[in-house]
Amino acid sequence: MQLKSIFLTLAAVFAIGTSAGAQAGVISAAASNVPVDICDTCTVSSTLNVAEHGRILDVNALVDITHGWDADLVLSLSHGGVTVLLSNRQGGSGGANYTGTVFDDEADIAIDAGYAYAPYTGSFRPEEALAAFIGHDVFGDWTLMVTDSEAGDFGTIDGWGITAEVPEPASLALFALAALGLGGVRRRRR
Amino acid sequence: MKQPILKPMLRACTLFAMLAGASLQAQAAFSITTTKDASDKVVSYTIDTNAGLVFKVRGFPTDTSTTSPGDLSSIVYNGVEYQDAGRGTQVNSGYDYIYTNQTGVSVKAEVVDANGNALPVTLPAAGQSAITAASDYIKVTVSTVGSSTGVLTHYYLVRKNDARIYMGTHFTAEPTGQALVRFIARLRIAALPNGTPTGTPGGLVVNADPNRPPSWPDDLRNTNGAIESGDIFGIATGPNAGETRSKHYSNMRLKDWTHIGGTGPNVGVWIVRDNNEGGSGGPFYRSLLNQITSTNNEVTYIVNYGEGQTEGFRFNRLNAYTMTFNNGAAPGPVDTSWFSKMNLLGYVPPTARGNVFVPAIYGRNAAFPYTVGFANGTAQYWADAASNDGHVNADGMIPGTYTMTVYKNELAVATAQVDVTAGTTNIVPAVTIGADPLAHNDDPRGKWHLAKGDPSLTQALFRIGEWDGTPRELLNGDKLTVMHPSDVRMSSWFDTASAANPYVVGSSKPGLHMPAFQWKGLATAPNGPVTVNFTLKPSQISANSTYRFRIGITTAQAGGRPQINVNNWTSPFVGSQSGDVFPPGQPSTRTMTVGTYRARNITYDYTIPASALVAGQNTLKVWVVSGSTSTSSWLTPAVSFDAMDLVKIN
Repeated sequence: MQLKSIFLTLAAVFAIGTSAGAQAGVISAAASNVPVDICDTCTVSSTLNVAEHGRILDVNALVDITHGWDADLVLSLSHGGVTVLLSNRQGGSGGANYTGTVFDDEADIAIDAGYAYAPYTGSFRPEEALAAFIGHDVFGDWTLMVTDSEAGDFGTIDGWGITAEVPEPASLALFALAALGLGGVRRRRR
Repeated sequence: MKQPILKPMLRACTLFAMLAGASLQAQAAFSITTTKDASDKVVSYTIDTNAGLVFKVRGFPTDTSTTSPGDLSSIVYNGVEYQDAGRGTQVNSGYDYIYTNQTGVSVKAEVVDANGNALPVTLPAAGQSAITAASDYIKVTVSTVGSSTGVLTHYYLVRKNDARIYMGTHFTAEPTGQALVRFIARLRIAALPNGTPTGTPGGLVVNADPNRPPSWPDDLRNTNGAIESGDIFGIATGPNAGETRSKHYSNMRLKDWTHIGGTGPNVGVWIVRDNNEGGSGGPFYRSLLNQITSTNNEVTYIVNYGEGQTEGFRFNRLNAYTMTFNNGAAPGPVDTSWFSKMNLLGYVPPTARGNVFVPAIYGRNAAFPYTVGFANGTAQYWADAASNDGHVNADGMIPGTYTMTVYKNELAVATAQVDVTAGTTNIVPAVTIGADPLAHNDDPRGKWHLAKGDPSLTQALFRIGEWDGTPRELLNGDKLTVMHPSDVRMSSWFDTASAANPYVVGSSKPGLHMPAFQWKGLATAPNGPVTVNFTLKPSQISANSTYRFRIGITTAQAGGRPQINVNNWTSPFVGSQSGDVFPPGQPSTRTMTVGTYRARNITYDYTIPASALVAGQNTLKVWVVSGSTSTSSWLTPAVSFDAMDLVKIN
């Protein structure tokens, strides 16, 4: 009996450890309704749908935009009633395009940092933290909105997408196993 | 019939070879041989390392302008003589003219045992030689004599069974005879015909044009006369026609190299440096290091140097460096811990040194390396900041108070004072790099300032180049350390950012379209202003806003400084108004034509009235002003750009 409870305890500890070390899965989705023209001095949007469920642990957004004057543009991302400002008229004088731009709360450089340059290739922290989406279900529509705030230049949303970290189903199962194991140990001690 | 005779012959040959080997072994014992001439003067000390290296220190010969007591007059490694017979390997041009008031040179040789006990060598009778066996070490001390007795002392130190000549140079005053302190090994080109590999000081330059053979930038062979100041040479004919060569182009940032040298078939002769704590100029200092001529491969260890120098010289340090011989492979680090037994002037043991630990540096841009320098009047050090969190370990520093400077690449972006105490590690507060303030007190009229933070942390309407203290990312910036600006391999300096072909913000590229240097005037080339076109939208212009154009320079020559014009508005410049305060002076020596862009980083500030700017295209011009002129075109007043940007302040 004592041996059995040790095994159960070890299983629980292992399961918790495993669950903590490998719980994140990744869900990626890319917009299919692109390119979207960015008309001069108006707001356009593009929506993608995520068909899977999962509680968001972290989320990044990848954006490709062709535009001759980034400083005209305001970029924001909406999902589940939450809107996050990604970039607000960045680009200075003559900065053009967002090329392979990843908005990532963990990036070293903020999109509004003095040494962030168009076409913003690489990873940048958005103006507002994407952490606002943490805890939400990744399932459903995600909308990228682009506002062109000044006349004279136009462009296109060439592509965009999101990558979200969510708990893996397998790790949920391990967590459940751990809970069962601990429960078993407790029952035997009683 | 022949067999019986052959066998004894073979036996005899074998015996002879064994005896010969034993004899060579006996001659190769670790020793020093003192030789006197007929007048009872010591003419040489011959040191056998017992490791294939035998070298001779000149004693008291009748010296010439190119030789002196204390010189290395012979360097034989594995049976090959490397020393130029006509000239010495020596400090400057010989120890007999380091100071104008010296009357001679003393040379003293000793053997030293494992406990540091020194004994003088055995002196022979006149016209004779005497061998002194050594147990562990040999020490030769060369010192200036006369009114400058002991002002400069140079050591040759040898360890048993080690093919190295360890050296140390200590001085209490800067030389007055031959300026500066340089140890120059003058090695026969026939024995050491080649330079060093790419990536080392003076290393092989591989040209983008495959029809141009690779070359050592300091190799004067096949040149056709000087094109500047007697030390920069051009190649007139052949596949490398139009290229330039100079000893100056062997430079490399001090922090980037550990050894210099020359190579030949299966041989390398190197000088491995110490931490350069007694030098001047900091981690990014560049100086000549090598020169290859038709007669010599000159390997030059710079203890201190004046060209492009921004610091005072340091004294009373033991400047240590080691001549190493091998098969041509890069030499490894050398062990000098045994110096503690050698009773050397200026030697500071590890136990008398301290460390500094900086736990982190915040505000870094991951695209750039960061270096932390430490400097005071007696020593200098530096260490790299870790790429993850910027932490810094600076070890082995002589106690004292130092100015600690954080460099973003080569631009000073933060400073602090730190103390070093022997035997301890001083953990100093983490450093946070802030934006370079737009308001400053360096110049009451606000025409210039010295960066106190990272200018890149301030958003700009546009920016050309990176604020990193170098022009390397600009046109020709990748070449200017290894060739003259007139070199045919340079891209044209004047075809871009010109009135005819302006730099266009948003589409032009710094590396292709913005020249790294700008000159005031050249006899054979246009000296028009650098022209930049940029566009502003109505929202970017406000009558109540203040606009600041910043130009960072890394050095200047002949008093050059920038002035700008935007559309119909022309800026004042430093010196345009009575009472203007000038920024710290740039070196009076050549810099921009001798392979360095680095001196004093200065930011020039121009406050542009909003009324000067228009919605739509604006044209900005930058040119160089100076009261100086030069008869040599490429030495005309000039500046080296770091970066430039336009900032909307409010």
